[in-house]
Amino acid sequence: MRSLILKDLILNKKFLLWTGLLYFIYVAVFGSRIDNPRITTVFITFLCFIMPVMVFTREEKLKGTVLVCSLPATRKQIILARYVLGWLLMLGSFVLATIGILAVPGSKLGPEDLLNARIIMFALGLMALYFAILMPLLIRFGMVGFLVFLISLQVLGFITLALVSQSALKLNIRSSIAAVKNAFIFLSSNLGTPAYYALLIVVMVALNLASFACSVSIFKRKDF
Amino acid sequence: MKVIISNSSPDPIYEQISRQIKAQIISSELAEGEALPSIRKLAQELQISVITTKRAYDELEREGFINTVSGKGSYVAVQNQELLKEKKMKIVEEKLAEAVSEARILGIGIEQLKDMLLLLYKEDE
Amino acid sequence: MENAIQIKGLRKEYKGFTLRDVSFSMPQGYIMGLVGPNGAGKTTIIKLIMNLVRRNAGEITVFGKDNLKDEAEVKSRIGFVHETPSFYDDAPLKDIKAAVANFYKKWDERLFLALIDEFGLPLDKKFKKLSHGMKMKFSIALALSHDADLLILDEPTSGLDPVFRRELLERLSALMQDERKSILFSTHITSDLERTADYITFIHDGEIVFSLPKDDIKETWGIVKGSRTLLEDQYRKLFKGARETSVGVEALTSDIQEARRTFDSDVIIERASIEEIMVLMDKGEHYA
Repeated sequence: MRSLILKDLILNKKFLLWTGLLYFIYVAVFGSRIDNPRITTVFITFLCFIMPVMVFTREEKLKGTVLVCSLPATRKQIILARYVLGWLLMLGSFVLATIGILAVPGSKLGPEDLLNARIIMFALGLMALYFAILMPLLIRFGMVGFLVFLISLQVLGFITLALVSQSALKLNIRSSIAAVKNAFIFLSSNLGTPAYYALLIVVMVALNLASFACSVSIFKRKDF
Repeated sequence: MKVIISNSSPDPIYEQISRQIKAQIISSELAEGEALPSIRKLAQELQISVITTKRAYDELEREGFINTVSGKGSYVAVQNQELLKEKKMKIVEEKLAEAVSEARILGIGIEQLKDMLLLLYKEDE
Repeated sequence: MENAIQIKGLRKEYKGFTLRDVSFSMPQGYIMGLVGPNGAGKTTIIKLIMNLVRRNAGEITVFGKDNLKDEAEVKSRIGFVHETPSFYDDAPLKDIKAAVANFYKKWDERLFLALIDEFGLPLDKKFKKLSHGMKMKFSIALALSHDADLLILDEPTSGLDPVFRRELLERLSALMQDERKSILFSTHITSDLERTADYITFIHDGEIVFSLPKDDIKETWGIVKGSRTLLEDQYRKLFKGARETSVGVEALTSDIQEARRTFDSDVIIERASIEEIMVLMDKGEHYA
């Protein structure tokens, strides 16, 4: 496992450094203009899985996967290393971005806005969701999978907006969103904050485990 | 030790090798106790399969010409002169026995066989 | 001592090509050549051993261990050279080496550097900037640097200049001085095998034709050269393939003794070279 993760770090070190830097600057500059912590979080997390995605698709593009599959590692170990590395990169990017935004002078948000448990849980939740859905797609379809993922998100967004503008459905969409929100609030208040967070974490972990199982079975079937 | 193999000869290569080594042992070119190259070394030098050299050495060992000590290598065995003569006779005897049995199967008579033998001897000279 | 490789009933289906019922074994301490025309299935077999592709049926054991159940352990003892080596194109050789070396407990850095030096490879150069020959050399250097017990090389000599080809074959030969090492290599360049191989497995159209010690092949397969009478039905079961020219016929037999008994003086019977076997088997449809 260690060697699998090191492999990615060694072979992508220049790429990671440059992309990390660009990402840092980009998020710092634009993120600091946003005054809503939730939106900032969405903004940050939307981009922070770019790093792992790029690393994995680079391997595919630079024809490195054949090499990896000839090394002493099982397919399962290879995928596990991707998940671990992916999370490390995402979390690292998130920390980097947060620091960036807070460090920029004149930033609209301060530490108390971004460094609280709610926002962090929200960020983790988003990351867990993206990652869990994205990884199997990536492994199955490669770079194309990633594009499909992004486009689907956009399309989903458009459809939702289109539906919402239809006044008849407006109430339905609104009420379903409200229902979801209420469910969260219900759980939150009934379980008490620590238990609620624990539950969320369990769900995130479960999602990622399911995603992992799915990815492994896809990858095991791949012919090179 | 000198071994030269021919790819165009009808004789199998392992036989060519064992025959040449045998001849050198009998003529004392290879002294008793002298070390032979390992089967792998010989295979590499002659650029042939190690299975071939192994087969040659196995035959030589079976006929008492060499001794192989596992882990150490192969050495020319002590040759009793009487035994040596016997061995030489035995080699030719075996070949003649083969020829005789083939001749019988094919219906070639003893006189014809004798003639053939004379002819072949003369050819080689 | 268990076999280096043992394959039973291997099957792989592709669109338009099926590898079927492949069984053979390779004992430890020898070189086996996997030979056959292009597209016969050599690379597929090698990929199946390395689990680069999934098999449809059959089993493969390496040093007695199942190549799927004990994948990591098996691969740690294998030095593999792919037909077209591809690593991270963008990365300099020294980075690729650093990434790969971590995987092997028995990595020998000194040996690697000695090989790099001998092959004349610039460690700072990016992989994509190398010629095919140099990519091959680099791949070979990596494969040789972790004391692998089994080397698997897929078409290692194609695309290499004759000088390096000879050097490579000599190097493989030298490796075999250690009787614990085994080498499997696939090639369609049969002259590579005439000298160095101990065993030859011949694949044709997805099936194993034979897997034998090279000497046995040399002693039992032959070419019968004669007139068109060789093509007559009475001789059909003797031959595996034949080539007709305007001046005669060359027919391949797997039983040279039988051929010697069957024909008398108006034919010439010679030992078959691996290349002749390959070429004439290809023309053997009506002998199948």
